[in-house]
Amino acid sequence: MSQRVLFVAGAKATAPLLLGILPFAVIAGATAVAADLPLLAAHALSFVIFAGASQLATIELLDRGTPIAIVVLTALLINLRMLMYSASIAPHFKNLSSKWKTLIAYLLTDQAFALSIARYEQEISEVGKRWFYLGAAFSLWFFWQLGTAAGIYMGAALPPELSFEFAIPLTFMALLFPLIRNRPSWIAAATAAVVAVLGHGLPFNLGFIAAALSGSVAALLAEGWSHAH
Amino acid sequence: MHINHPIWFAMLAIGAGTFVFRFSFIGMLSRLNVPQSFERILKYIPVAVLSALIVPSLVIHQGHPDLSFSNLRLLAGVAAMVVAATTRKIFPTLAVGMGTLWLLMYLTG
Repeated sequence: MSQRVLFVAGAKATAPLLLGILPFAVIAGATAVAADLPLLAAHALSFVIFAGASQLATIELLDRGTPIAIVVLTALLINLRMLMYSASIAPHFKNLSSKWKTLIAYLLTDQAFALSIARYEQEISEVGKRWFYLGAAFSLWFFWQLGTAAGIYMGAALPPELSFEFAIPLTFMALLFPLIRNRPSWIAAATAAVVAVLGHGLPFNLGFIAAALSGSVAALLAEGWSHAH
Repeated sequence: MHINHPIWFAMLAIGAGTFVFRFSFIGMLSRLNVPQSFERILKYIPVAVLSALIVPSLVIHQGHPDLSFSNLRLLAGVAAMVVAATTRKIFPTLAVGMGTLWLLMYLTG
């Protein structure tokens, strides 16, 4: 497949996720304005940080007069999961130049990671991997900026009672099942689910990180156990 | 221009730190040096991450785990999960999940 075809395929794959992401972006923009941030700063947040949950936390904490060091630390802890995504996806991009790696890293999000990793399960060339990722990641970036701008200028006009954000976990479900192929992967999914629910009250999204790591470790232990028997 | 607004410093620090997280392994992993143990450890991260993103958004209701029938997202999520497991396709999963949620919200008023 040509580079353009794969770029378009990546962009198209984001369509169901946009249902959940656009309302989230609108809220992020509207919240920035409601907290009296300078207009330029409201836009710049989405360009410079480009990670929804941490943007909302930053706006909220600054608005409450939280010391800057605490604001920065909180946002960075929320974004610590990017380290995990970077490690997981890095082997697919190891032969690229640093210019490409820089662009790929800047565009890395939960959704770009999930869509690409799911697609890489099927056969795809090294060049194909790059262009599929860029199509998906750039589309997510573009609509994030668009949604933020809409929120900044029009406010949060979407009715929250329609629960469009529920589209994101639903899309992830369809991506998850093809990845579950053996007993260790079932154990990874189940362990991560339980730990994520138990740890949901922990600050800084730490429950999520604990869930992902413990799921992964549990699967490796299960793998080792089945090799030994 | 509100150049002194604290948002600017916070934004630059968070943006830089987040980029370092994103770039870390993607940037450092060269073709010369990919220990096999590294790939082994990371094999199950995607499954664990997706599961950890999905399940709390079904189970946590008003801030607490809720496995009862009054948790509409759990009911809609289970319906969608059956579709996801059998079809493995995004649009049917999305249609059944959102459709069930909206129907239940309408029925329970």
